[in-house]
Parts: sequence; structure tokens; C-alpha cells
Amino acid sequence: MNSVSVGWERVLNSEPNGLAVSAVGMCIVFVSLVLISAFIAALPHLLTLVAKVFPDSDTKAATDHDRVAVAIAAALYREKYGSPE
Amino acid sequence: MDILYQFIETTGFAQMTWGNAIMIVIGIVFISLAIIKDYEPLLLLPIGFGAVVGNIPFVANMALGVYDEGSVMSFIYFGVRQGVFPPLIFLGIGAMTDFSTMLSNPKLILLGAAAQIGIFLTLIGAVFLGGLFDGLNFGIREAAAIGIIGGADGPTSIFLASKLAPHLLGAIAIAAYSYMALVPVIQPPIMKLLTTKKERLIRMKPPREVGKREKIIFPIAAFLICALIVPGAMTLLGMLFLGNLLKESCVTERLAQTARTSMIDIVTILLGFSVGASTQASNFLTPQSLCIFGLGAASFCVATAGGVLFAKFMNLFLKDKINPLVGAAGVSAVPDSARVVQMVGQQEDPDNFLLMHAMAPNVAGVIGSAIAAGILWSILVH
Repeated sequence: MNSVSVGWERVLNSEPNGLAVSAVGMCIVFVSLVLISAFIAALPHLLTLVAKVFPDSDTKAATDHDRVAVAIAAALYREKYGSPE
Repeated sequence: MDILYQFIETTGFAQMTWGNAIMIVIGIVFISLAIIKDYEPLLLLPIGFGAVVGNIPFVANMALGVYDEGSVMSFIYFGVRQGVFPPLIFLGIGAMTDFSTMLSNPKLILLGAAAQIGIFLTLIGAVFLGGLFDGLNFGIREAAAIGIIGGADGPTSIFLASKLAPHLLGAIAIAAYSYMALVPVIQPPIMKLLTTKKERLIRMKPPREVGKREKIIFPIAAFLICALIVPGAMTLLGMLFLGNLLKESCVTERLAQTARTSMIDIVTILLGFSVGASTQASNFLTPQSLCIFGLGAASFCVATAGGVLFAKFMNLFLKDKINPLVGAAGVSAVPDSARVVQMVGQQEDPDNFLLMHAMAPNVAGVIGSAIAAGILWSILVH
């Protein structure tokens, strides 16, 4: 029993206090991860707002490959069915 | 003839102690576990062989061991002693990790936080034990370095031990990696003990699809949040999130590929081997090491229980229930603890796929344990 109280004394009298280090440490871990969690939860909403200002580049910019493919498709269409006009 | 006798005295056979022999046997057991049981072979095999190498006795004046200044081994061990290897491993982990499941269900991140309770309770336990047994006498810095084993994250354990308790580095590293290898043995009984069959049968909603922009923004934002709160975690988390950004940006595929393959493999070999070689019997076979193994096991069990119990606690308030088994993945050991969750879940319901859900607290646990290490380093650095 005596040694148990010695153990607790060591925890409480350590510099800094072991109990306080643990409590504060656990709280900071939680706060950090709660903030990340909150940010992730808000991210889709933020991105919806951002998308209004900066539309997704995937739908805007076409690569050279895309342009060549479109040109070939148009040429083939014309050759087969004539001009759309 | 004298020269022959003199040479015989320098051989390992002549200088072998019982301690060296025991450590060599332990090294061979590690190698066997890696090859026969497939327990974390990438780690246990180099560690096991390192333990064999590190326990070959040699003449005192020959600079051969990891602790001998100027030896080749000491240069390899430099990466461990100075905490260089752990951030490099984190870079590779970041380049491998897909945070999608975490981004699709952010509330599961809290399970990664809850599992860190093992670290902090073990810190108290280690200081407490110092009062019970005179020989142990762990100070709070040593206790913090031991507690981090509960994060089940080898690189983080090595990083913090190198900063707070370098003299315990070998024992802490071996304990951390051993328990990571023993995840499939340690976790299932605790998970089953703390959950009912009904809870283990809970099916969770499939995760939503996550956009590319979310994946790119996340590592930058998460790093800023963590590093501004806990600058001590900057090195580990900076590398983790850099690795992930290399992967998700899709413009640095070559770098991401190198980080998650060649680089992490090279560092793992050097780290595993030099940690193994640091377990020289004279330094390693001490009552302190045994106590570190005991406390590490306790820390790991408490962390697992913390995650499971917190999932049950969250279920009190949630409409879409969480399968509490998923909480066990809050300890970092990526992806082993997530696999264990899947395995235990499928023992109850073979059609229940928990792996994707478990990956969320699993990667959150990596972040959580790095934050915990940063906090302890910041508080105890003086």
C-alpha cells in the first residue's frame, strides 16, 4: 500500500506533473483531430463555393490529344455523312 | 602458436556470453516468425538479423558495434539515433496512403484520437511503476518515450525515443515493432471482449466518392492545422503529408513512386538492421527492457480498448451506427489493424466489409500518434 502511494506521489510530483501532461496531451490530440474532422466535413461545401468562381479545369481545358481526336471525328463524320449544314 | 591462441581469444566463440547467445536466439526467432508466420517480414527479418549481427562479440578496440564511434554500424545507426529515418519512412507512407475513406467519413477520425489514450495512460503507468520498483526509476521523459509504443507506430516511437530517451531506444524500437507484428494476435481478443455479437454485425454505409480537389487540399490543410497547433509534429507530419501530396497531385508521379517503393524500402532495411544491431545483450537484457516490453503491451491493449469503447460511446449519439470493431483500427499500425478489423468482422458476417471503414481511423491514428509525439516532445524538451 505504501509503495502504491509512493507511485502516485511520483506521478503527481514529477516535473512536469505526469497526470497533467497526460490530460493536456490527450485534449490537444482530440482538439487537433476534431479540427481536421471539421475541416474535412466543411470541405465539400467550400469546394462548391470555389467551383462557382473557378470551374473544374477538367471540363474547361482540352489537351492536344482531345483536340486531335475531335478533329478526326469531325472529318470522319463529314466524309461519311457530308457537312452537317 | 601464441599468435593462434591470441587469435582464438578474439573469436566470437571465446567471448560469447549467455546474454549474447540469448539475443542471437531471439534474433533467429524474429527471422523465423517473419519467414514462417509472415509476421511483418519487412521489419522483423532485418531486425532479427540485425540482432544476430549486433550480438557477435568482438575485441573491445575494434570499432564494430553501433555504439562504437567511427564504426560503419554507427554511421547506419546515426539515422536512428538522430531521428532521420522515421520522417523518411513517413514520406513513403504518405505516398502510399489513400485518405479517401477518412475524407468520406470524417467522424471516424475521432476514433484515431481516442486510441491515443494508450500513450498517455502508459506514461502515467511508467512513472507510477518507478515508485514501486527501485531499479526501474523511469523519469517522465522515459515514461513518455515508452508510452508512445501504444501508438503502434514504429517510426514515431523511434523518433520520440531518440529525442527524449536515447538510452532506451533499442528496447522501445524492438517493443514497438514487435507489437506491430503481433497486431493479429493482440487485438482480436480485446475487440471480442468489449463488443457484443450484435455490435460486431453492424453494417456501415458505403463511403462516398471523394473528389480530386478534396484529396489535394487535404494534405496541405491538415498539415497547417497540425503543425500550427503542435510544431513538434512538423517533421513527421510534414513528410507524411508531402508524400501524400506527391501522390494526389498527379504531377509528381515519379517522386511518389520513388518515395513509396525504393526509398521506403532502403530506409526500412537500414532502420530495421541498425535497430536490431543496437540490441547488444549488455545494453538490452536489463530489467528496464523487460518492463518496457510489459508497458508497451499494456499501452497497445489500452489503445485498442480506447478505440473500441469510444466507437460504442459515439454510437449513443449517432443515427448511422459505427461498427465498434472499427475503433480498434485507431491504433496506427497501418494497414494491419484495419485488416484485423476486417477479419474479426467477417468471422461474424462474411459479407460485411469493414476494411475501407477501418482505414479511416487507421490513418487518423498515424496522424494522432505523430501529434501525441509532438506534444510530448514540446512539453518535455526542457
